[in-house]
Amino acid sequence: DRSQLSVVDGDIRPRVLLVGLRNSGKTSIARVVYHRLSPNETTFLETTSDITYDSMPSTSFLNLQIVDFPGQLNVLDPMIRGEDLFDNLGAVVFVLDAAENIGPATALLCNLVQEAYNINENINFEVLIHKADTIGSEEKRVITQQLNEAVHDGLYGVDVQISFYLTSIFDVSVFEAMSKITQKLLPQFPSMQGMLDTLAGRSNMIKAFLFDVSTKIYVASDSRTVDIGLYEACSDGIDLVVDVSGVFRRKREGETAPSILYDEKTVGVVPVRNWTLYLRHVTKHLMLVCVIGTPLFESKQAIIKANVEAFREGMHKMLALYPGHDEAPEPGSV
Amino acid sequence: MSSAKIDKTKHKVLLMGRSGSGKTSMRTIIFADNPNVGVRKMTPTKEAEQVHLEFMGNLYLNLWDCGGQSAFMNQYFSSQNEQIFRNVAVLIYVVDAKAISTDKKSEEEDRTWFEMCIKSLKQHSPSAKTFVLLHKMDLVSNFEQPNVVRGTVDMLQELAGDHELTCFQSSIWDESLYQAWSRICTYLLPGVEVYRESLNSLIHAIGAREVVLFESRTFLTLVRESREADPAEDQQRFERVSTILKHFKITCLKMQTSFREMQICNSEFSAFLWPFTTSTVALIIHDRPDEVEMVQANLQLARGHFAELEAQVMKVPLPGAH
Ligand SMILES: Nc1nc2c(ncn2[C@@H]2O[C@H](COP(=O)(O)OP(=O)(O)OP(=O)(O)O)[C@@H](O)[C@H]2O)c(=O)[nH]1
Ligand SMILES: Nc1nc2c(ncn2[C@@H]2O[C@H](COP(=O)(O)OP(=O)(O)O)[C@@H](O)[C@H]2O)c(=O)[nH]1
Ligand SMILES: [Mg+2]
Repeated sequence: DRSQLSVVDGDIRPRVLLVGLRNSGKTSIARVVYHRLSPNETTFLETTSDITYDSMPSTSFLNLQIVDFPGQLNVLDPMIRGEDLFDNLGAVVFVLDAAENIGPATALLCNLVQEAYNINENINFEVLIHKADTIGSEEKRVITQQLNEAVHDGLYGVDVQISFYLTSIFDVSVFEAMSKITQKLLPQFPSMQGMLDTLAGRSNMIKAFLFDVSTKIYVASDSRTVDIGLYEACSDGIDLVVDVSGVFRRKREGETAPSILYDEKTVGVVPVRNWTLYLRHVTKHLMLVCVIGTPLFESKQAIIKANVEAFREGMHKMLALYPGHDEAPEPGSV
Repeated sequence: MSSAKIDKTKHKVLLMGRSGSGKTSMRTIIFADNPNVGVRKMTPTKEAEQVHLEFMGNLYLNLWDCGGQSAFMNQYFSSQNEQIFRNVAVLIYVVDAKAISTDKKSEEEDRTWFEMCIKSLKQHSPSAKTFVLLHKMDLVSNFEQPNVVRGTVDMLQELAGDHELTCFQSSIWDESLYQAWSRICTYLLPGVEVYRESLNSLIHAIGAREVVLFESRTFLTLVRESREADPAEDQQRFERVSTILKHFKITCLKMQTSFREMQICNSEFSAFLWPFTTSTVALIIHDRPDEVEMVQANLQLARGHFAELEAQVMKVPLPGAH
């Protein structure tokens, strides 16, 4: 039903369009990132035959609508009205297979950007050079450069910003890219970043991330650059805390499926030789992960913990200002 | 090589099965910290590859990963027969559960090789224990699983005759892999039973819900004790934890750091991972999250006692060993 392409009245969710040639990995990315499908299971996915609308799981802080536009259909077909597709669109995420000849994909990308930009200048254009696990590091450099040049030539005279990311569903890279793409669409992002800067500065942290627990996208971090290894360690630290809590949680009467245990008392301390991860519940969807030098953490634990609690309070107040997010502190929490 | 090495216990373990059944994948995930997505890059093992693995500090496993292509298999049962099958403590025969139950040719091959393995064992290592792993169970649908398991086990037991088999299901994609290998490794180390009584006293002293000891390199479960048996509990919970901990260990390795300790609290319980002796880490689940300090103090006290026990663990011989 093409009419769904336009925004339903009152739907304020930022929309993301996933688009690219057939078999480039769009559906896999959406399933792995937003629905925790295990990457090896994506080989069983069938080619998508119709435009698909995907909502975030209810356990996620993110409130995006993902439009999976199959490679089989032509996104520039005049039958598909560009206004419907691009009005109110937050981001175009263009996926291309790094192992394929980039010619056809680049041509489509340039035409798409041109058309979308004419209709809506506010769209973010994001290009995933995907399946990066299948190529070597020299090829990665070459393909990124070729693509940059091709896009520069193809969009000569169009004043548009395009971001490129090398991604694979078999490692953390696709989560990092989707985090950065998502952050640009979050109205709360600037406030969150500011608060994380204050927290990290006060407690001398190496890094502070705020994660969406169910997708492990980081919705914000302090403004220093993100080391991808550190991001992965923090993301896996969340798995450690949430999964171990889930395994040993007491099953309630009549409960069949094991559900997760993540409540306002949740705290994790994981020292890994030189630094320590300090993980703390913020809201039912968000978790704070701080990276702190181990000697500092050991000597200043009380102060750091107090700073973190102050940060949580500030977050609760800030989030309450945004309607539509069910993120007020739960009853009984401080 | 120093002469001290000779004193250390060394067990020969054969890993056998058709090519592609998953032997090398399993071994590298459990013992070499290979993240399981990496196994897609695996190439077939050539001949019998010997790997020396350290387990519990003092137990050395001499694991023979026997490449399963027919040409090599034929040699194992002819010219190399005695070399391969003598002094074996454990044979692990791996079958691809999907292939053996759907493909006639695979079934025939497995029947032949398995029968030959048992025959050679009876001749050269009659006291060896045999484990059968029905592997890649993730590829068999839930609906077919009972039939595939029964059919395969019955068939192999018939071929083995009076030679006892212990069968486990496994898949690298879930905790069943850790369950199977924990059982195999604790068979090779019957001495870990000496920990059990002390764990029990520890549970009561600190009022813990349960305590489990993991081997610190592999995170395989060695011994576990609970205050009260709760049949509603997930029976594979410790293997689930092994998988979770192993995953985090690999992430740490990538960051050139390491991990032996953690503390998790929520409104229901607290969980501590604690480096306990040189080769074990303990996980303690405690229902009173506010008693963290008391628990830590008691663990500190128990440490010395457990370190003493560790020496005894190595002295208990394998059943049937001379
Ligand atoms: N090596 C590798 N393979 C991937 C990656 N991402 C996806 N794939 C594989 O690519 C194939 C196609 O993925 P899909 O997600 O169905 O592709 P799609 O873009 O949705 O294709 P259409 O629906 O036809 O437009 C699957 O077999 C995936 O397993 C990746 O990062 N690396
Ligand atoms: N689906 C599935 N595949 C597996 C499993 N274990 C291993 N594999 C795959 O089976 C293939 C052969 O594995 P390998 O370890 O080389 O087999 P070997 O010849 O017995 O050493 C590899 O492609 C693995 O990814 C499993 O539990 N499930
Ligand atoms: Mg698709």
